[in-house]
Amino acid sequence: MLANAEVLRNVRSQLRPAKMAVAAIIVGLLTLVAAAGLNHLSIPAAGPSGWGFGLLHLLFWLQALILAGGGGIACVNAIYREKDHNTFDFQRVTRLSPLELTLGKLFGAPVFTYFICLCMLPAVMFAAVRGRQSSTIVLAAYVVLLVGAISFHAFALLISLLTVRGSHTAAVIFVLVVLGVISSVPAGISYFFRLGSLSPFYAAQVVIQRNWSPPTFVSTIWEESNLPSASIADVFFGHPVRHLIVMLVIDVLLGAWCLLALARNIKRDPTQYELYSPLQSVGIVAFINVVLLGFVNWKVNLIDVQATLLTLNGVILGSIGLAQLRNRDRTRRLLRTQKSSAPSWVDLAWPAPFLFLVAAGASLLVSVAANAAHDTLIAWSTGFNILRSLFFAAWIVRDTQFLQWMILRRGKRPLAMGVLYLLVFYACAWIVFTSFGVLRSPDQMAFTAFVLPTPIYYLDHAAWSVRPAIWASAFVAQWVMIALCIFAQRNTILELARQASPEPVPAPAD
Amino acid sequence: MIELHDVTKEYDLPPGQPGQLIAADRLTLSVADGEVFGLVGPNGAGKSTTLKMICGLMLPTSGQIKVNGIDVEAQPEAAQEHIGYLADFFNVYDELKVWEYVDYFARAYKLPPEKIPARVREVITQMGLETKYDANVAGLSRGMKQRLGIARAIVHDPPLLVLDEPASGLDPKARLELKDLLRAVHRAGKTIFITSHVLPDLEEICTSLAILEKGKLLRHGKIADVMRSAGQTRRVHIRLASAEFALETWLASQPNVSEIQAGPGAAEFVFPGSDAELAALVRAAVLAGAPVYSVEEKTDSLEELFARLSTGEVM
Repeated sequence: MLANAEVLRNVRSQLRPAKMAVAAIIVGLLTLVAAAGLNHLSIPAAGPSGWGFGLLHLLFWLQALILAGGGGIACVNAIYREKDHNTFDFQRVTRLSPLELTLGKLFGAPVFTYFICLCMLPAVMFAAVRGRQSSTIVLAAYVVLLVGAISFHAFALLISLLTVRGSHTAAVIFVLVVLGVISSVPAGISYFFRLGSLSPFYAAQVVIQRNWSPPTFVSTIWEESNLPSASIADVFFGHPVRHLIVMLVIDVLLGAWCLLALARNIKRDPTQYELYSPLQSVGIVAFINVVLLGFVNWKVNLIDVQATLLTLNGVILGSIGLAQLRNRDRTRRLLRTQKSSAPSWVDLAWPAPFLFLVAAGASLLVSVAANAAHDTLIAWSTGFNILRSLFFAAWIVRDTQFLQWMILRRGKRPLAMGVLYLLVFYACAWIVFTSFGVLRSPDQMAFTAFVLPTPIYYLDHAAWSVRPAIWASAFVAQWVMIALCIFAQRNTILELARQASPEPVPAPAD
Repeated sequence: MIELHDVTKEYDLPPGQPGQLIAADRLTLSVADGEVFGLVGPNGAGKSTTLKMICGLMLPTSGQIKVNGIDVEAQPEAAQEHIGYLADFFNVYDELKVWEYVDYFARAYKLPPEKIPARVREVITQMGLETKYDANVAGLSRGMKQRLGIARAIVHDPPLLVLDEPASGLDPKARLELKDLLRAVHRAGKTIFITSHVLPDLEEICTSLAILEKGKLLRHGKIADVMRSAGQTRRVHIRLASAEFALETWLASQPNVSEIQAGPGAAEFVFPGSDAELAALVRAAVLAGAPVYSVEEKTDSLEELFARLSTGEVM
């Protein structure tokens, strides 16, 4: 690892002997205090295996906090600080390949937090011996901790790459909020998904399990709520699988997707960032849908499950849509470098054609899976299922196309402004509809479909039969709005195409 | 060494101002091996943008750039292997020691590991920082940090150095040292592509130059050729030992003499004639009784030429 220049630089700058000695002393003292505190707990409070077991749990929780939280912040700072200090260009012109530079930052930026965890290792070993815990379980907990933390670091590093001047604090808060959200998912099976926690904090659950009992399959979500989390199995397409393995595989793959985006862009001109190619975008949508469909619990209300899956797909497709947006610089380059004089219809309407295909594909995949899983007792209509999917695709394309138009407009942070406008738009619409009780009235619900994605959640045979014309009009209205955004975008692109200097300037004589 | 073909870079003007800024407008130029090529222009002319595009740090809106025959856009890493780059405003890693800083870049440029320690010491010595070898970078002066930056840029022994305003913020002594350093680097066979606001410095060290304004190349080529292409005329300054001779009146009666500016015992005038004709004119003045004390030919400095070009006087 030290063969990587970037890792070595971080080691040299962060791990000076004096700093290491101070950190080791502080960690040692805090561990002693924690151990002494736990030693004084009563037997019931400390658990059946005494305070050693409690200390082990605490130490792993702390390591997860330090590695994921502290290391995450270090990763958010890693690229942003270099850009801010004008040192990033010097790294970009070196012979470090994009992957080497990415890995250097991934393992180098949080190196001090790794050192703190290393300082805790003697205490962990002591607690494991005192709590009579198996070394393989402690080792497994460390694997979970490291894999979870590294995947999270890759995500934080990606955020750092995308952070622009003035938004550093927001980036740090965002990364910590994401960590909080993924860590607050109950370690057991959630309501909709038979999938446990994917966060590094799961290591603290693993380290307190007593043995490697085979995974327990339970047929309903409620029966297992009192079981210790580590013994619960995830259910992948109906087959129980050990969560430890699932967590490691998913985290490694999620981390790999983040690394792919980083390696594609870290040495690029920042105005030309493109997180994923269109084909890679299809790949990431497919991967996430395999995970969602594989672990979803079809036994809860089928309509709710479909709505939840579409909502999650909305987040994924929204992110993919953002990654496919073309700013003015990219558009100019496209216009100036393409062979034909006029931009193609795909360029003028980008990313609508691509995003519609991906969104419709993803939502139809969800529908097909729901259709296969549906219970005959539940009212189910394939036709309405498809209509909801198309509504969903149109809604995603509409908002993304609006943002594409916004990002092509001149102004300070046009994309941020576009997102802000969308948020205000949705907040206002929601307030208006709620004030007039439209969202509660089956008779008036159809009117909300013009602006809100309510069809995804409420459109069924009963709702359709009340106001078929309004639902249909709302569907058509989505496409009218998309067409308007594309028209506005087309005008901006044609204006950019016209702005090129008309005549080549002859070079002066040597 | 460097070839720019029809390179254009377009930007938006700040919000509120209509239109766009063309930082590079179909630039076409080439820099031969072993040259010290100066790029001059006012702020916002597109100098730094051009340098960043040459280094592959910024993509042109259109056009092609080659460094040592390698297309920078198609193979940025291969091209960057041949480039040492120093930005106009930069920081160094303050928490490292001087040798660690250079060592980091030696590794990042993938020098053979066994050669790195010797190369690091060699470059630090070349930059005159050997006394600071084990010092913290944070404690270095501005000039020393600039030297450290150049050490970083040349550690992998690139044939091309791209320097953006290397003299900015340096005191006069550090500027002199920098000039000596650049001459030494040039003598070592490197090609240097440099921008600077300090035009007299550039005039001293450059073999060729280009004048850039609003993204357009006004002139480029060998310094003498650029001066000649700007239609520069010979200005002659004559001083007399005493002010008794009516020099202005006498000069006005001579052919080829114009734009006379006379003072007590001295005159400056434009003389487009050849060297032999000038010699004949001086001899005639002496024969006419003028106590000629000195004759001096005056040429435009780069600063004056740039001032004339950039205001559109010569176009």
